[in-house]
Amino acid sequence: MPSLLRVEDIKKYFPVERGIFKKEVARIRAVDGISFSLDKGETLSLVGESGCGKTTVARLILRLLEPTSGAIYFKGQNISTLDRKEMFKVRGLMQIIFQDPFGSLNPRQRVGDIIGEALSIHNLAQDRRRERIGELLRTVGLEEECIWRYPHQFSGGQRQRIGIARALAVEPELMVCDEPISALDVSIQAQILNLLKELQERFDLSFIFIAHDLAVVKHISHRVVIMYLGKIVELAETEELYSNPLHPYTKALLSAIPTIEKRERIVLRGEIPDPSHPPKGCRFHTRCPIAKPECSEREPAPKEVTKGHLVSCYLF
Amino acid sequence: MQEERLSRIIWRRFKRNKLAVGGGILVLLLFIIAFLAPLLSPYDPGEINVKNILLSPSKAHLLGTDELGRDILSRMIWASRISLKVGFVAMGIAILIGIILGALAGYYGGRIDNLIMRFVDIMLCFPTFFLILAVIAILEPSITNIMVVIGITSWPGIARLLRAEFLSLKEREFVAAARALGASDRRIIFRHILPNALAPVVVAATLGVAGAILTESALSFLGIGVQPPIPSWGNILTSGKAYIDLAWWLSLFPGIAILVTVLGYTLLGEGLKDALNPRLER
Repeated sequence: MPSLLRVEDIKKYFPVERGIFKKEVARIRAVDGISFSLDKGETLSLVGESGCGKTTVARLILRLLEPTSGAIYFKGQNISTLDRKEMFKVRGLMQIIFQDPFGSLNPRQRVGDIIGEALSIHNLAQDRRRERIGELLRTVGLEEECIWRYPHQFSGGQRQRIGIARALAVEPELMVCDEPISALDVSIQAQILNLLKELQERFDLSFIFIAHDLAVVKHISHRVVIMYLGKIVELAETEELYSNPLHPYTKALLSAIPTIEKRERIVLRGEIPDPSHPPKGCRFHTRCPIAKPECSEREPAPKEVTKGHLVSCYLF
Repeated sequence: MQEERLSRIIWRRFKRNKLAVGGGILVLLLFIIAFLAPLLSPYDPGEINVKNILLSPSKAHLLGTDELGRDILSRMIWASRISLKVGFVAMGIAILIGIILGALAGYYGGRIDNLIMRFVDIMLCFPTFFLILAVIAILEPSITNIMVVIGITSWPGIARLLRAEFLSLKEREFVAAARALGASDRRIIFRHILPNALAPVVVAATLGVAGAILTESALSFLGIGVQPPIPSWGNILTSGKAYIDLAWWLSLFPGIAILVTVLGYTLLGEGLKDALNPRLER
């Protein structure tokens, strides 16, 4: 079965321009050659520190940003070359949920209009618009009366639900969740995660789930991608990754999850390097606790250690 | 959770500012005076009476009469219509141009932005008042010309404001969400960005009305604004200049009228600025 989404070696460089002639003085390599695929009904998580390019990947998939190079296949179609009209059809099948529930809703629109707009753009349910909006609100666990209210009258968790209802309105197949819970209170996080899980089963959705915290990801994803500085360092099934992490960066991330039993914590030194001047060789070697001399010379290629478990490190 | 509209919150914040409310009342009063001018003015503003030349304020003529025996109060009441008209039409033109160019520059960025903003820079280089003087000197001075010229010289500030708002708003996530839904540029500009960008424009426009009224008065004072016999505060002031040692009332009252009007709009504008500021407490 062909996968729903396939990302092939995408790169996104942001130019850093200076002066009145807009001379390009540097390039921020936000995403530097990433490939993965997503099956129907699957949840794939992208995990990494701030600044590793997770959000850029999300926006590239939805073509909110144009990739510098590489291709994105959605249902077998290369969407990075589609024109506006053709892209419009695809947009109804892929949606995004944002991190900031306060920034993702237009403060001047009523909830009914926010969700209704999704319907009117795609000409959906025009004859029973009211019912459909109410139905969507109930689906995400809100009351129908919310239609008349403005976003500022809701709490963070409720706003996130409104954002989810808007995304669901067009009946998408792929949902990109860009850190949908990291801005919420811990008590609300679980509710939203459960809602997403429930929606996935009900509507047969596929998720790209972005997070910076492996603890959150464990319960909802089938496979996990670990990113560092615009590259994939490890990709594996969730079970496999948590029980048998290979890359030293993954190990460090896993050791940062709080647990009850005693365990050695791997504390990484230093900051994530400047993505406009990534380190030569393996990008992680500047912070790697077990770096060897060759790590700073050539970049390790991704290697499939066991079936479906990819890692980019010279140790394997 | 309160069931409260945003406008209600703004109104509540506005009400707390007593100076702003005072400014608002002044502006409202001016509107009423202008609309009810035929009812309020005791005399015909153009009625010449040679027997009543330069009468000092009295019961019959509350603010005195001018060198042609016309009632100053009546003339000033009618002149408020001119001020209002010039202020609002000029600002209307400025806002229209400013919004269109500012929105285009901010939304599309790149070359369009560069082109528009360099044009704005050029406009801002001109000493506006002298530009208006020169243009009016070439065209004939009339109310229409004054309104148009003030309008097309005061848009750059508004364009800049709106561009800045667009630049920051277009990066917001609700705009990204609309884009992900496949919303057209037009829908994003008019439904999502513009409604959120208007607050500073409203403030600038209110202050701009005060500026336009002041400019009109200055032009009329210099004799190239509103032409007599149409009364304007500026040209009443001019005619008073010649008789300042004989008839102080001719210069004082229109001066006060200009002062109070400009003050009213400025206070109102400042009050709106605070009330509309989203960064102050909710």
